[in-house]
Amino acid sequence: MERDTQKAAGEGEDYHLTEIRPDWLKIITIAASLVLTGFIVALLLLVVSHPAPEAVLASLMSEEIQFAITLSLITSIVSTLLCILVAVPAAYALARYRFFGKNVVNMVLDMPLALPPLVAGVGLLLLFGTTPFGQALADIGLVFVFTPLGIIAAQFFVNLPFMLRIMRSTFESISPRYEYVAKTLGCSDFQAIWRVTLPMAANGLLAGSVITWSKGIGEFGAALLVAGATRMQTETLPISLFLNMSCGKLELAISAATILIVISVVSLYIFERYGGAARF
Amino acid sequence: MIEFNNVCLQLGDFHLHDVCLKVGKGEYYFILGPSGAGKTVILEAIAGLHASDSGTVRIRGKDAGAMSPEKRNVALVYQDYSLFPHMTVYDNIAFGLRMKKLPPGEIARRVHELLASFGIEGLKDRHPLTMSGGEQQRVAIARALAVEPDILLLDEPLAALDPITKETFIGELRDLHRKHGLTIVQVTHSRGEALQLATRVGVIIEGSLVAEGETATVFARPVTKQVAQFVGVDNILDGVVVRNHDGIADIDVNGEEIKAQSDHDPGDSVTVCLRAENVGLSRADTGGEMKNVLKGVVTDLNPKGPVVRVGLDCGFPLAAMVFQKTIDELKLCVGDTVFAIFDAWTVHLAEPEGVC
Repeated sequence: MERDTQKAAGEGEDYHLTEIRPDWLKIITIAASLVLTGFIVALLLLVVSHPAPEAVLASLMSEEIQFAITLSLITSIVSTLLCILVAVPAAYALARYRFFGKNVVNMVLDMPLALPPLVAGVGLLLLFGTTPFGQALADIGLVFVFTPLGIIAAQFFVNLPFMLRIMRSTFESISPRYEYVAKTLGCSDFQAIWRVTLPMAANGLLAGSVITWSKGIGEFGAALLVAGATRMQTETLPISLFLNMSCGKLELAISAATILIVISVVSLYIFERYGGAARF
Repeated sequence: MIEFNNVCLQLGDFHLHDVCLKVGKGEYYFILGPSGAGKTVILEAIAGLHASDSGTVRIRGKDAGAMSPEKRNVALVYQDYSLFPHMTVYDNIAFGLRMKKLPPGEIARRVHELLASFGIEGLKDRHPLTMSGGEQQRVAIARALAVEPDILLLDEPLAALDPITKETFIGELRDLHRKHGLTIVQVTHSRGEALQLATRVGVIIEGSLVAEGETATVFARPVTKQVAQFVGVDNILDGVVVRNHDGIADIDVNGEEIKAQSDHDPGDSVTVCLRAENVGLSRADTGGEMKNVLKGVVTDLNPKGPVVRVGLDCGFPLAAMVFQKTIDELKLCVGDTVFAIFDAWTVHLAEPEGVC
């Protein structure tokens, strides 16, 4: 009889444990993530919905925003292509070979990630504006200071680490054995990379390009220092946002912001969808 | 056909030390060794994927040092097959032929021939990642053979296959070797595969080639203790030669004497190798001139199908492999005292240290 009572009490306790006791850790951590998500969505909605849609639409068609869109597209596409051109071979070396000073090289190449873009901008400005190297470039017609070329240089320098890191992790995820086999089947070193490794890295390349491009479109700090913020001359979308915000033309500023938001969302989606093994 | 002369190679944390080996034309040569011993690196060195730091590699009699992989006409199949995932089976097999710039008609003809001979026509348009291990294996070998190499390198080709597919494949590899007159170098850690297929074997441990020779010899008469352990000799005992008369050496092992056919001089340290199946058991001391008889206590009986592995304590542990019938006749139980009997000629003496 006594044993029965004990057993019943025990069962009651089990019931209590599973049904009533809340898992505070789970509740708190999930709540934190939900609050953060809500906050970001609210911010984005606030930006997009602030002015009347007709006003935004009208300013989208304005000459200034049209100019900013064109300039942003051209500079970001060119800087992304340059990033691919440099980052792909460099990432390949970092993923495949051991060489003296590799750790230092890795760290230095990642440096622009941690560096405030403004500081990078100062460096670039000094390089192009005050050194014989910059002078030599200017002499052959490549003027970077206060020109769209400067925007490209700033985007290239600041965003190279993204491309580099993504391609490095992509190449690291591809076994060198594929190239080895290709070589025994008649490929030279370069043919093996071209026909086997690069096609296998295509998704990583796509993901890396999209992220680099989207970061390039949004680049502000370094570009501001090298190229300045001149209306209708070096006015990219973020520069336009900055200029119009500071002189109170809210519709123009918001339309630039809206375009930037759309580009970010789409880029992030493409990265997550095709990124595969690629990581920052 | 393939010759390594004192090849040293360092690759990351891995070293090959002074490897000398010789693979003759038409041989089915096995490189045996525990995992991580550097077997795959040897294959890659034959294929020309790593340059040796010192020593020479000769292929078909020519120094291969300056020969790039694509000029060696050596095909390589990895354990994970390394089929190109972005190409169909057809394109994988055609890859080497396209690199050779053969006319498209010729390529199509040869690929279909290979698809047919490996029984994989149905897989033609599939992508490798959707296929089973056995299917990928066939495609990988077909792709390797497409360029008509005379040397085929196989890296653990059977390790990832289920037991039934594996048996089929052993037969197929044997046919392949015979039909194409190929020189095959295969890497494995499985002694069974080597015994079934190899004409000659080399044993590699920690980057050094520790034994090389005819398969049967390497297995039955291992040169060193290390090799004996690797090829699975059941009884490996350290001893010292006490006397030698007319090629019969008496060896002191832990206070007991064992007779063996040998030219070793008194005072030599040796490693006694004895296969469990060469040890008989008896209740009576039925010794003879050339026989070893050791008195021991049964420590365990371990049935392995029709045979039983009997563990004995003769002052040192000794294993015997006898039929279940013998156990029944002797009414043998754990704790019984019994005589272990083996002929002097079944005892092989190896070097105690890893030098050959």
